[in-house]
Amino acid sequence: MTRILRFACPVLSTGLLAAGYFLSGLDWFAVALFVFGILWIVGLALHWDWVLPLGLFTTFGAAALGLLQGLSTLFLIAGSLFALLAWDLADFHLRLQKSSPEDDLTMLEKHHLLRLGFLGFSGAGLSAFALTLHLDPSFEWTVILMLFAVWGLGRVVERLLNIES
Amino acid sequence: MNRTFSLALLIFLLLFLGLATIHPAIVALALPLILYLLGGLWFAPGKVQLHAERSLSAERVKTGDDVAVTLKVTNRGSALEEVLLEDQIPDGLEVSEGSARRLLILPAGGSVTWTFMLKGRRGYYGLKNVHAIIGEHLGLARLEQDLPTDGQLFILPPVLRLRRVAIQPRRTRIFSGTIPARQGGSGVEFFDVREYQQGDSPRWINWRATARHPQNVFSNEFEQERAADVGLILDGRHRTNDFGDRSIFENSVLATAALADTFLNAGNRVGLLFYGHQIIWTMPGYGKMQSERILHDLSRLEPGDSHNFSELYVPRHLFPSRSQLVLVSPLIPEDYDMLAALRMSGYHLLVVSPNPVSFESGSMAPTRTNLLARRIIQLQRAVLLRRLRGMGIHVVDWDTSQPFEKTAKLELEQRMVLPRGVLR
Repeated sequence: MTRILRFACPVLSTGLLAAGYFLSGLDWFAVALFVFGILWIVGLALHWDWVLPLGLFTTFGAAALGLLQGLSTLFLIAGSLFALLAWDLADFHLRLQKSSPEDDLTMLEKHHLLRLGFLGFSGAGLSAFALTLHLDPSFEWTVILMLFAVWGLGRVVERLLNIES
Repeated sequence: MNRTFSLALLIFLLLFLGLATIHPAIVALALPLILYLLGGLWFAPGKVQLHAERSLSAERVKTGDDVAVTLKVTNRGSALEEVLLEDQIPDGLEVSEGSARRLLILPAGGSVTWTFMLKGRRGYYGLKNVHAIIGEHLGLARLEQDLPTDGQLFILPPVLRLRRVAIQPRRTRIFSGTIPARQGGSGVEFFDVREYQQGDSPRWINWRATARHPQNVFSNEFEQERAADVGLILDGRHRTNDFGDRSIFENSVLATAALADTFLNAGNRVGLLFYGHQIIWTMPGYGKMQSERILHDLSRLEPGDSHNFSELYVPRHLFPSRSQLVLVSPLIPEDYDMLAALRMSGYHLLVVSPNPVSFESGSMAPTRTNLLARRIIQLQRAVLLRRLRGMGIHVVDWDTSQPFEKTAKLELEQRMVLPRGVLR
């Protein structure tokens, strides 16, 4: 299952982003994303490790750029969400490579996909909910909220890195 | 790049861009990433209490034999979503069957047991830790631990069976054995003729001598066969054994194991001195226990260079004077003085020398330069061996492309014929 999904997600990601650009008439951007999608797939097939973060950053960058250009939010957010899933599944696949034939990989895959699916749907729902909100805070409040968000995320990252060390 | 760090960087970039452009959709774009990051933290492993136990099917095996390693890892803490367990196998050992790794989910109180087979080359191996990487399903929070376990494995060198090794030291022990003792008595080999004494078997009467001297009766005397002290000296110096990434040391170990086994089977008292990075001395002893002791010590020896002695050094107080010394060494010209001094002190010397020239040239292209170099070095070696033989030292030049048994059969089973003028 993971083997199929880890290729399907980059296809869906770049496909949706390319479609978003294409539908807005930015054909060359769509072609560039299409070419990048091919590179991503080839990189995954050939186990190029550097292609994983590159795929994530490029698709999110393309999605952010598209949003700034006022392209279809649905295509861009869905495309970036699939990029996140692709990034996760590629890493999970690498971890599964270290298993032995005796290991119950089906169980591991099932748990992983359930967790990922739950977070993917929740993330999509949260994004959709955020887009429906029409708050109009002042610039100062926005800055304060952002600073809090950055501080909170910093703590989360610190905690995760501490667990590793 | 670390996954957590990559993700955090992307989130910060999106938030910064969202703030800079005052574009809420970009902040919304970052929300699935934030949720994913928080998911990693939420399900991060808590206090990890893993306990590992190891058992081996055997702690001492011969080279080439398989050893079954059984590992049991128990989770005494909270449930762990994804655990990668990997036995840390030392260099020199390899997994011949099964896998030294497991990737699994370990519930609280749960355990996993698995078995795999190991084999490797001669040596001593300490199997100490099982490496565990514990994480959650998303792979963001990962904790690495080394779980201590006990375990040691000796892979003994192979022991070749030799029929006999002919030695004749001047000094023998009082116990009967197979070494001719240069004394008349009961034995097999003819030694002398003496006047018949009461108690001599009539079968020992030398009728020819008796016929010549009708007044007396003569009987044959046989050479007594006794056990002897044999000191094995294994040369483990880097400079004599290692040639680039190849080493002739394994051949020396093979020969030493075969010789020790043969001498002990013949009832001799055998000790082993290893000369390498340090001097290791196996006290002399008899029998199977001593054979095991020597194999045990041989299994853990590695070539090295001593900081104290640049030349071959044999502490003489360890070996009784006039006993038999057997040196297993590829030899270098500088060793001549030490060997000459030992010989002059009254020791009987047998040198088994794996030929380093044929060993090294076997891996070299047969170019004209190489062939010429090989010839020059072979000549130098031939001169050294000839000088040693001239001193009454029995030297066996072992071409390592040939099996040691074959060389031993040709050169060790017969007593050495000393050059004229050389005293035993």
